[in-house]
Amino acid sequence: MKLYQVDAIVLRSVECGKGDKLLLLFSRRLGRIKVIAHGVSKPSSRKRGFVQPFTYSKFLIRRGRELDSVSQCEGIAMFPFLRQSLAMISYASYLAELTLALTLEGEKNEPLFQLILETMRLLESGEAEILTRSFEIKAVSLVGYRPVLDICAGCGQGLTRDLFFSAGGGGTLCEVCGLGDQQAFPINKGVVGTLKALLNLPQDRLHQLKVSPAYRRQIRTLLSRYLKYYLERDLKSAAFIDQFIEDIWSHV
Amino acid sequence: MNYYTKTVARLIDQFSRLPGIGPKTAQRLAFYLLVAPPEVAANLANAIAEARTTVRYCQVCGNFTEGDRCFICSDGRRSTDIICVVERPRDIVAMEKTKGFRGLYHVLHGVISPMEGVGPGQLRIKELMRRLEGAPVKEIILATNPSVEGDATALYLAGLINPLEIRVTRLAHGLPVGADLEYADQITLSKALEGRRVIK
Ligand SMILES: [Zn+2]
Ligand SMILES: [Zn+2]
Repeated sequence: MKLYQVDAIVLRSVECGKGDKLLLLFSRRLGRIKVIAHGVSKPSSRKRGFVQPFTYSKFLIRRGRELDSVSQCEGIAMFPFLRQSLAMISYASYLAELTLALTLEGEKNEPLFQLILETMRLLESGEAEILTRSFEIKAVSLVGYRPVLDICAGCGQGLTRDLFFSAGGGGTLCEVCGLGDQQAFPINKGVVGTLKALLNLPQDRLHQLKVSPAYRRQIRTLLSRYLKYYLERDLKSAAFIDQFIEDIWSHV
Repeated sequence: MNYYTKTVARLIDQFSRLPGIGPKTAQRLAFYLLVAPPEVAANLANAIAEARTTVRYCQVCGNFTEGDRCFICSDGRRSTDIICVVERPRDIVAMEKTKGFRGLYHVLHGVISPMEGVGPGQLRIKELMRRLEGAPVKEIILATNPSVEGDATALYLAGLINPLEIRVTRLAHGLPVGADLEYADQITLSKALEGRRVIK
């Protein structure tokens, strides 16, 4: 049979003429896949609602010569709250864009799939900024770039009282290594502790974590530099959040 | 791969750059023009060149027009206190076909998209806000598409316009005509429920 089934989150949907959409899906079983959904821009399409970005659906996919196409689909969770404010849309876009940037087509990564699914689900009640920071550090770790936070990433010795962080250096650095790394910047132990919590606490327990506005700012900058080092580019939705959303959040 | 003479190849290439036209259709169009009476090609070329040089954006609403103002903005019979905000000029055509709207329009020429990096500054939002300062507008209808980007744009505009004490509405999105309730997704159904109306 030329059909296969996947549970997947729609990360992105691109108009491609004649009412068709090209979907970039992140599936539990097959990782990232690219499929075409015919006629879904038309109001009469039964699939239309289920192929919208940020929905979690069950897809029946037909193998094609060039591109596989959606034969049937059924929503599992539509996450309507992700479309109810500009902030939610922006955070969901960022999770999707970051996932796209960190993965390759056809590369399976079930823990990452589970992570994005859970993060999207928790955005309804949880704190978007903290959930997003935790998603960043966990996601980058799940694709193999876990930052070192317990010892000096340079010399392997224990951390000194004055410590540094360096994206290129791979995490925390001791005073000696930190002073020798031009990109390294000083951070305090509290920030490192919060980073560890963001990395190790399950998403559904992050609400227990209290992070001061000053730490939030430092962690946001630090993680965005860390991600940029590996991705070698900026993410558009991250810039959008910086410009239009974070202001809103700092008042909440 | 050179099956055509240079000029024919160029014509096919130009057609195939148009949206929705694949290489086969491009070839068919090109061959049609080459065998049709010469005036067919000349008329087409003239129509394209003339439209492209004379048509521009309406200074008021952003619709396509030949003068400074489009035919809708210069129609004195239309209500000036209600503005329908759309993504593209072709959405005006769709709205006009309903014959149910007698107000004015405003074309954004795009939508906010965090993932594409399109922010409010790249749309004709400043122009809309300037329009609202000058005229006694009572209602803004947000008629962006019910897509993620259309929602983002509508939410942003609502946040901007609501403090001005102008009524802001969004086109109801619910079940399409002829749809079967059983096949509707959660979001569509809940929007349809939100937008329900009294039936008499
Ligand atoms: Zn060291
Ligand atoms: Zn006009």
